[in-house]
Amino acid sequence: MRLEQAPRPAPAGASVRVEGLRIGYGTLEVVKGIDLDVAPGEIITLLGPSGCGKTTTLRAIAGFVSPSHGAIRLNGRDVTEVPPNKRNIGLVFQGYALFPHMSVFDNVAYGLRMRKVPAPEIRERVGRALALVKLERFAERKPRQLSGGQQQRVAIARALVIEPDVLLLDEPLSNLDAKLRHEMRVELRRLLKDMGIASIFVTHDQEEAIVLSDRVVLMNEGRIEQEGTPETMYNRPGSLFAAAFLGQANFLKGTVHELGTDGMATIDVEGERFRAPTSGPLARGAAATLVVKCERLELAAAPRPGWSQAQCSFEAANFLGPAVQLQCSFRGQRLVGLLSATTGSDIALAPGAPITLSWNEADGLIFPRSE
Amino acid sequence: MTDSATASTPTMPRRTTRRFDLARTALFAYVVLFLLFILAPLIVVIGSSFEPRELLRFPPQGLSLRWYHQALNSDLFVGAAWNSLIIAVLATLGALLLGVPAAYGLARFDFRGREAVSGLLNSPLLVPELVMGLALLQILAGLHIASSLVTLTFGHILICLPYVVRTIHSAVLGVDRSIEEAAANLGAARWRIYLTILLPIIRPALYAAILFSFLMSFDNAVLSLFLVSARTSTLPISVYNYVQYSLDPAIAAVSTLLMAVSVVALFTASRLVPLDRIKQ
Repeated sequence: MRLEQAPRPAPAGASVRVEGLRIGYGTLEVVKGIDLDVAPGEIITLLGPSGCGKTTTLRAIAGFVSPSHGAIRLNGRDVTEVPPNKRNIGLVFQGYALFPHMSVFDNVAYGLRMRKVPAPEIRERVGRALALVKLERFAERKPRQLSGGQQQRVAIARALVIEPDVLLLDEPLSNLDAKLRHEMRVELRRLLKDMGIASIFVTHDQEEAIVLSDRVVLMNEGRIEQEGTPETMYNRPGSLFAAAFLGQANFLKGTVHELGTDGMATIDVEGERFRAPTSGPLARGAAATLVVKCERLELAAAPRPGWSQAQCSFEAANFLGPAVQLQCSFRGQRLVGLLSATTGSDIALAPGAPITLSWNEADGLIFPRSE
Repeated sequence: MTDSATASTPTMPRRTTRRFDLARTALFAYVVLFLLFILAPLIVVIGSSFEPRELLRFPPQGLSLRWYHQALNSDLFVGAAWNSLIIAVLATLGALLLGVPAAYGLARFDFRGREAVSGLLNSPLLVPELVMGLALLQILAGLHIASSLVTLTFGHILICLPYVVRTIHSAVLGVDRSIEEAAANLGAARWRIYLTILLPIIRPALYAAILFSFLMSFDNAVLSLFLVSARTSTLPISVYNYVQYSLDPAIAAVSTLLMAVSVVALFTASRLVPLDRIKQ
């Protein structure tokens, strides 16, 4: 099945291993070869746009989708052909999928009852799980009597109480309002780290992925585009796709002017030349794109060695609260800067006025571009 | 808000108020007429059942339970009532056993010919009962099967089936698929998911299906007409036969009792399914 690569050595005690996973619906292949290892206690995120195959991968691990190729192992046990109810996986659904006719207690107890755990032990373990998510006082309520955030915590308690080999979470925060979502990210990460349980999140929200995970797995069109720590993924994107997906960045299109030997290159953008580190194979005169994260741009005072400068024309300044978004145009190409509110708030320019933006050369990244 | 509202009330043009009154009166009259339209036949039947003399008339000339006494002591009506009850219970059970799994399959699985199956299951609603009765009679005659409670029950299952399928189908569609997946994920085998998750959640719809089924069978006359024999008459058929020969208030008393059964069934169902549970 897996002709494209040699078997990798199994890392000691991987909680979840996905090998050469391929999934198709009819003639349409949605997952085109995914390899994944999750170490015990590790939190990873499958990040990607809708349709990239991240949810399908998660559903395959849970057993709701059968792969056409590849294998899924839980703590070394091959579960590829095991039905969902025999897998011992915790799953938190996007809409929580609580049982509406049962109390919070019965919802959380359900998995234990299916495992024929004796009643006194059920009471004790459900009590502990509810205490963990701070819902002890709501045990007798029905799900519809709870707020969205509380329902979500019930779903988490219900998934954790069975002591699963791995916890899967399908966009668990997407139904919460913005403020609660930000609180829950941190809360959830702390909880999972305390429990030391291997977890796989699925999300399309890059910020969520960065805050929540030890490792981000970026997916695109059924394949893994890049994986790494949130810092690596954010600061050293491996492709234009990754650069566009994590954070807000500027993309200046040009051609390669000169290739250095030190991993640096010079790109020609509308007649202006910028030096930056390179990523991917570049050739002189080939089409390339210079990527600079919006928050790396600064208002320039005087030219500095090792810094790039772009003479732009001002378009608009938008106050965002903690930051000011500066919209400029560099010889017809868009350049957006994100300045702290203290430095950015006194910009009072007429549209079209000249403004100089600069950035550290090391903060740029030049990618090959196919036209 | 409140200030401007109170300020504007005195200056409101009088014509608007008068037109509003007129509309209210019209609405009231409409509601009264509508209720009368629905209730009039029932009032006439119930009223004339208390008539003390031999003649069916409304309003009754007195109040008497004579005809109730007679109806409840008549072997004809009581035997037919038992038949109706037994058939209604069996037909409902049969329709549930066939209809609930079918409705679930239609709601949850995508298979070739699903629309056709759905249409077929609903077809007893579209084909006139008269035609169905005739067809069943011909089939039974062709197979040399005599009419009995069994054949009647089978006929009634056909009539009840669409009500069960439709009610349960839409109820299952209303249950998020992920709820069943959550149960499977927590370790429940398929049959346990049905028993502990799906059926309890759609319980209101189950009650509704049982109620519809029971009443459809219990009140059915047209299809039964083709399938009853002298020994296996149902209550509606007995009433129909009785009216052909005599028109005394006994028939009104029987009809009132028939109605009472429906009302009790409806009332029980509404107690079993509090309104707030239906919305869930």
